[in-house]
Amino acid sequence: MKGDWQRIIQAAGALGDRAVPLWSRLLGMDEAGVREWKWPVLGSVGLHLLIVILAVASWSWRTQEPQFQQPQAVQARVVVAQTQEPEPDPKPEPEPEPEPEPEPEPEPEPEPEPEPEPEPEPEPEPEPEPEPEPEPEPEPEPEPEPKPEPEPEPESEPDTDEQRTEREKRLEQLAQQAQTQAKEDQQEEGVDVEASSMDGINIADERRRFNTLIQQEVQNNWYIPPGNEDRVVRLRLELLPTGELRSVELVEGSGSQQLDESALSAVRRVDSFPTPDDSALFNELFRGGITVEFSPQE
Amino acid sequence: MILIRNRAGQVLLLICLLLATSVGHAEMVVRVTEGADRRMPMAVVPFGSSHSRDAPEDLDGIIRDDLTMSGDLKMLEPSEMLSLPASGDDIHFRDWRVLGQQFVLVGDVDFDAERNRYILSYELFDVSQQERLLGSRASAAPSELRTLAHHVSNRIYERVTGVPGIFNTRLAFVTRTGSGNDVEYRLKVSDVDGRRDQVLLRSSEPILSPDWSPDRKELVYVSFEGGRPAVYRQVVSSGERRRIAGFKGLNSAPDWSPDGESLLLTLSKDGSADIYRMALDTLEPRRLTRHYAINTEPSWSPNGERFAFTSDRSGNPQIYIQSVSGGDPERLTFEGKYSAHPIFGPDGEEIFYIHRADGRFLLGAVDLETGEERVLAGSEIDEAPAMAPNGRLVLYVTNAGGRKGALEVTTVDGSARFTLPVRHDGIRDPAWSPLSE
Amino acid sequence: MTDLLKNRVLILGFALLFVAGCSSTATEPEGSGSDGMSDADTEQQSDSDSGSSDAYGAGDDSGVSEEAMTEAERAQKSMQQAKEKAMKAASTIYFDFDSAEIQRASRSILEAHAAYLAEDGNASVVLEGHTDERGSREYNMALGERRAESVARFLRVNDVSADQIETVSYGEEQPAVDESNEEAWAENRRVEINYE
Repeated sequence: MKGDWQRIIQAAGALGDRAVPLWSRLLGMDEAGVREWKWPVLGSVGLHLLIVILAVASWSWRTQEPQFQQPQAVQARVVVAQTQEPEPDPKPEPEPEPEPEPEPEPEPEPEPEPEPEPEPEPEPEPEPEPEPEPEPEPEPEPEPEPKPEPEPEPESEPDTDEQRTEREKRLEQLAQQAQTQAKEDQQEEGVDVEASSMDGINIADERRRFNTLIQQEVQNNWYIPPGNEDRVVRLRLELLPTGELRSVELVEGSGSQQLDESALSAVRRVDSFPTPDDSALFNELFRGGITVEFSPQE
Repeated sequence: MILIRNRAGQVLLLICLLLATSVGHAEMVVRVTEGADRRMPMAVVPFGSSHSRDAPEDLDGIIRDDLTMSGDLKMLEPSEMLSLPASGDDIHFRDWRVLGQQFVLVGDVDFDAERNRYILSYELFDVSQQERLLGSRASAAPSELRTLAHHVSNRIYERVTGVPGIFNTRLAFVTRTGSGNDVEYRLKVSDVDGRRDQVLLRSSEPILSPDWSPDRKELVYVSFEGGRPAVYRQVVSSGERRRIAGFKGLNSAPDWSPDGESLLLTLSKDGSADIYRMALDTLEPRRLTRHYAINTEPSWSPNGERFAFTSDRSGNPQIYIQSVSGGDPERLTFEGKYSAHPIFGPDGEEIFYIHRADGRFLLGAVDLETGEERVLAGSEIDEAPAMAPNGRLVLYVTNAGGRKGALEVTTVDGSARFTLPVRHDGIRDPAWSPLSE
Repeated sequence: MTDLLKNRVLILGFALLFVAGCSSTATEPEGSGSDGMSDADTEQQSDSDSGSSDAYGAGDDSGVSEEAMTEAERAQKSMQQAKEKAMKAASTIYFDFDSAEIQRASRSILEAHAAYLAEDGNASVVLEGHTDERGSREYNMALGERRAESVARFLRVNDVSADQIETVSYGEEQPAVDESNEEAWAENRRVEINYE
C-alpha cells in the first residue's frame, strides 16, 4: 500500500519534471525557478483532482430522497352534515427536502468581474488587442481568421447506430430549414454586403443596421424568466466573420441567476449572427467584440 | 523625472486611445428589451421505467400539466419529440436545439418493492448551454404519486424561473349541486389541479367565502345553516370547528390577516354593511368603515397595514383602499360602473378585481402607484378572483363560452390563460392556500 | 291556528288586489322587461300548467296515484297551487340591477302589508333579500341585505314596529328561477315577505 503511494508520488514528480521546460518557456522564467515551484504546484493539482473526484463521486451516492411523510388520516366531523366522502388520501407534505446534491452546477461564473464596464469605453481589457491607431502594432491574432473554423460549439458526437436514421433525417431537414430560413432572413435584410472595400460605405449606417439585426436575432432567441423587469445583464461577445459565436462572457450580472442564464442561453441559441461579408467592415464593427445588454421591459 | 515622463506618456496614450475609439471604433452595444415569447420552451420527456410495474399515475403528464398551468413555460408535445431519452447520458442536445427547446427534463421511474415506493430519478438540462441544472431522486408511496409529481414540478419551476412553485398548494372552494329542495352545498379542498378533492362540510343552506389561515391549517367561511349567516372557523385536518361571528344581519366576506391573528369581515349589526376587524382571541369586532352605503369584500394588503374593499358610496360599486389603523378611504377605480371584489397582488402594488364592461364581467387590475386601470382581455369571470400565493397567477371561475363551472387561471400580466383539468358544476368562491413552509 | 288562517285570508286578499293591478298594467308593451310584475304573472300561468303535467308524470311512474285522484281533487289541487303562487307574487317585491330602490309599482302592495302589520302587532315578517347571479357574490350579499332593509324602512315609515320585522340576505344564493337570462334575472332580484 505504502509502496503504491510512493510510486504515485514519484510518477507525479517525474511528470512535473518533464513539464518544467514547457512551463519555463511559457512563463518566461528559468528552469531552476520553475523547478522550485514543482511540488507546490503538483500538490495543488493533486488536491484539485481529489476535490473533483470527491464531488463527482459523492454526487452519485448522496442524492438523497425526500421522505414523503405518511399521511395522517383526515377526519371532518362537522355538526350540520356528515363528511361521508370515501376518505381520500390526505396530503402529506413532501418534507423539506434536504437538497443534498453537491451539484456540479457550472454556473455562468459568479460575476466578480474585474473590469469596470461603462459601455462605450476605450476598453481597458488586456486581452482583446491594442487598438490600431497609435502604435506600429504587432496585430496578434484576431485578423487572420476568416477561415470558417469549426471552433467551439461542439455539435454533438457522431452518430453510430442505424436505427436513428429516421430521426436523423428529420433532424437534418429541420436543421436545413432553420439554416436556409436564417440565410433568407439575412438576405431579406440585405446583409450580404457586396462592396469589397469600405469606400462608399457609411460606417455609422452599417453599425446601426447590424445593431438592429443582431438585436432582432437575439430577441428571437431570448426567453425571459418572469418577474425580472428593471434588471440588466451585460454580455460581451466575440464573433467570427462567419457569424459564429467565438466567445461569450458575463460582464455584468443582474442579480438573478435565471435572468443571467437566460441571456447566455439566448446568444448561444443564435445559429449565426448577422455579419458583413466584407472583412474590413467586419473588423471595423466587430473586432473589439460587442456588448449585448438585456433588460426586460414590462 | 522618469515617473513624470511615464505619467505624461500614459496620459498621452489614453488620449490617443480615447480618440481612436470614439472616432473610428466605438464598440457596438446592442440593447435587447423583449423576448421571443413570455413562455420558455421546455420538453418534459415521457419518463422511462426501470421496472416492469407501471406507475399508477402519469408522472410526466402531471408535471407537464403543472408547468403549463404556470403560464411561464410552454411544453413540447411528446409526439413532437425526436428522441425519448430517460437519462442525461442519452440526450442528444442537437435534437432539442433543433426543436427550439430551452430546457429538457428527463427521468426514470423505478419501484422498490421492499419499501413499496416509487423512485423517480430526474435531470433538468439547459439545451443551448448543454448544462445540467438539476439532478435528483425523489420517492413516494404509490398513493402519493401525485404529490411526488407536484413536488418535482415545484423544483423545476423554481430552478428555471427563480419564483416559488405553487404546485403543492391547495384550493378551497364551494360547489352547489341539485335544484329545488335537493340543493346541496359542499365546502371542498383539493390539489391545485382540482384533483384529490375532499369534502369539509355539506349543507342544504348556502356556504360562502372560504379563506385560508396563513399557516394553511384552517379555513374561515360563511355558512347559512339554521337560515342565518354566521362565520365559522374550521381545522382542515380534523374537521373541528367553531362559530366565531353570528351577529344580527350580515356576517360576510371574512379575510384572514397575514399575521393570522385577526379577520376583516363585513357586518351590518350597526345598520349599514360596514367592515370590521375582529381579533381571533377576543372575537370583538371593531368598526373600520362608517358609511351608509355598502362597504364589503375587505382584502388585506400583504403587509397587513391596509385593506382594499368594495363600496357603492359613489352610486355604484368601486374599489377603495384604507389603512387598518383608521383614516379616510381613498377611491382607486373610476372606469365603468361596476368594479368589485378586490384582491391584492403579492407585492402590494397592484389590485385585481371584477370589472363590468359592455355587459360582461372581466378581470380588472389597478396599479396603486400610477392609478392606471387595465382589463385582462378574454378573462371572462363569474366569481371572485383568488391570487396564487407566488403572485404569478389569478384564479377565477368562468362559465363563459361553454366552459361551465371551469376553474381558469391567468398570469398576472394576462399573457397566458389555462383551464384547470377538473371541473365541478356550480363551483364558486375559490381560495388559494398559502405556500407550505 | 286561527291567526294563521286570518293571515292567509288577508294575504289572499292582497293577492287578488295585486293580480287585478297586474292585469291593468298588462296592457303595457311586452318588452318592458323591468316590470317584474307582468313577468310574475305569465310565470304563474305556465307554472300551473306544468304543475298538472307533473301530476300525470308521477302517475305514469306509480300507476296508483293517478286513479286515486278524482277530478275534483285535482281541481282543488291546482287551485291550491294557483293560490300559493298568487300569495307568493303578492309578497314579492322586485328591483332593478344593482338597485335597492322600491319601484313605484310595488308601493301599493307594500302599503297593504304595512296596514296589516300595523293592525296586528303580534304578526311579524322576515324580509328575505335576493339578487341575480351577476357580479360579485359578497357584494350581492350586501345588496340583498340592503334591498331587505329598504323594504323594512318602507314598512317602518308606514307605522310597522321595528320588532315585527327581521331581515336576512341570501344574496344570489337562492334564485327563484335557476337560469341565466334577462327574464330569470328580473325574477331573482327581489325581496320576499314571509310571515312567521
